[in-house]
Amino acid sequence: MEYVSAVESVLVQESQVASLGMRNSLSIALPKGRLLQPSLDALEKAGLQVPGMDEIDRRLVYDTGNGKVRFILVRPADVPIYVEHGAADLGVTGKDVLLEGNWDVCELLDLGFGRCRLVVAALGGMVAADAHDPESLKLPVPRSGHILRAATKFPTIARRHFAPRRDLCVEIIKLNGALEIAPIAGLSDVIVDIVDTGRTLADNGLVPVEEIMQVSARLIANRASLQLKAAAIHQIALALRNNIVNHSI
Amino acid sequence: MDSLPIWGRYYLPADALIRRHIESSLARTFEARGYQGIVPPLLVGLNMAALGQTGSSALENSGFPNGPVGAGTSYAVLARDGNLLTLRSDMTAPVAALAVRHLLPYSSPVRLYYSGSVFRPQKPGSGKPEERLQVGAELIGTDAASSDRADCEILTMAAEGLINAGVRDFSIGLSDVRLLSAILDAAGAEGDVREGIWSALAERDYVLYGELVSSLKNIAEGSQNGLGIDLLECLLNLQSTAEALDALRAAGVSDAATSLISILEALEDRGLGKHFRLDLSIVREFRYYTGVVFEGYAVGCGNAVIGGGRYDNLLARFGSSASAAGLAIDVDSVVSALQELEQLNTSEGGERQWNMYRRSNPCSCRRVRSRH
Repeated sequence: MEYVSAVESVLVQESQVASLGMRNSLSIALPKGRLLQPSLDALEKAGLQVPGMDEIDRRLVYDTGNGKVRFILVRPADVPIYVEHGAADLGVTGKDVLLEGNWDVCELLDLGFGRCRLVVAALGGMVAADAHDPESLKLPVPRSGHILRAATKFPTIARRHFAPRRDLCVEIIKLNGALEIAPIAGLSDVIVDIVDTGRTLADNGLVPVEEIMQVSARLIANRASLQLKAAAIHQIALALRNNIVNHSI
Repeated sequence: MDSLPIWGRYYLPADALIRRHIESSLARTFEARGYQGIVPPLLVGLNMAALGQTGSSALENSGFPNGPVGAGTSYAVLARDGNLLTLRSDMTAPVAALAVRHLLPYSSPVRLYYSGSVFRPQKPGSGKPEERLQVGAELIGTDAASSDRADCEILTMAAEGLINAGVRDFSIGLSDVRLLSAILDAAGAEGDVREGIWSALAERDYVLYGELVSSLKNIAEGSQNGLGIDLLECLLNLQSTAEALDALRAAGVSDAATSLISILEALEDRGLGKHFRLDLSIVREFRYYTGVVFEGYAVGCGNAVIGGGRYDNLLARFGSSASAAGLAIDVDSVVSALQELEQLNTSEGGERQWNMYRRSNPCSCRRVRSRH
């Protein structure tokens, strides 16, 4: 709790430098869903006073007692929007969201939690073992000629991933959730999705055939805030980083 | 009613009035220093538009993955004679071209200012308009325009312009494009790693930046590049100007910062020091910058309100050996900074410090002209 006063005293100092308000508060956009609890835990460990899960779920906007730090609860894909416009100074969201959007935000820190894989997955019955490498599976033969239909929440990432494939014409279908259904219903040949444990995939008879990359939660900052509230942001980033380092040892 | 063919950006009287005041306040600031107004063309050739674009990132931003000519521009116009033109994406290049062609042969240096719209592609649905109102100034010519004094003049006007327009709480970060080169040299960064570090900084992916610097550290184990790498490691955490200067000295690259240091001292002498700080992480989006670069942020606005720098090589493209430095202010950002200020004053019950109807007195902007 001593740390709370440290961040706050910095905020007060910065506001005095400017002899104006606004610099003495910090707003942090947090992602609803699976990243929320670990985000709150990490920020609490970094010395911030954070709301309880049930509390923030009910209110969506939560000001800490003294009004110095405000938490805003939004969908993960919307976190960088709030941060890019400066409606939030800091934000926590997945690397997948950042890659998808080409946002104008500063990516400060890999927070280390929310680790999962971005994969191409297909129905188990349709994949074949790779002739050169029996261990790995390869993409299914498209239903029609060279055209491979891929359903995804991440069209930009999917397009970039398939771009070097000269043997395929890839059609990207943008969906908003529950991707597993797409191959089953015959909407697409494959899906491009993030996978945590792989259970949902397995339950629907899907197997990962290609891994695109590993993703994890990131701390992002607004460009202007990073200049105008530099000390407070660096202090939080430093505390978060130290906790990650300690944790990994 | 809704089928009226209105496209693009427009301002109704209340919004137009604020912008007009900001424009005229900036114009007075520039005129007081001997700058003359110029009206550059709205339409430019595609090759002119290409001058301002950065490499890959501008092409990606444009939504054209294969990057056709002029991909960084938002609108192309087919002229009646068959030429393909585009709406200007910045004013610096057209103003520099006009100066080289019409003004520099007769007098040098030339001091010019302008105001008008620029058009830049934005992500659909981002809520950021593609048309933006910009006011800027350029100091172009030989000798006088090539010195630290010229940079200082531009930076002084940058601060004065914002203050006179009513922005009180802002911070302008300064760097020099040659400085990052010198640091990367000192750290022994070459080839792909060098490119990678550069683009990670430009895209503000500081996680990737950190990974690249650590990889550099592993390779360089025991070599004499250690000090340079140490500087790269702490580059993003340097907050005060003094801290940054110490770090530069420790890494033995302070020579590259000589002109920056003298510029900062001169700004301090003019009483503007509190608005400026050394920020080594700045990589400007336009690739024509060759020396000092800066970008400034104001409370109440999420993106840069002001930016600019030295662009000596741009004029060579138009066949001149002259040097140049300039600044551009984003008027909409100034408006949101002012509105924030007004809201703050109103909510605190204080007297409204900024009043758009009261600012019509032309003397009010002279008030804060810095001494020099």
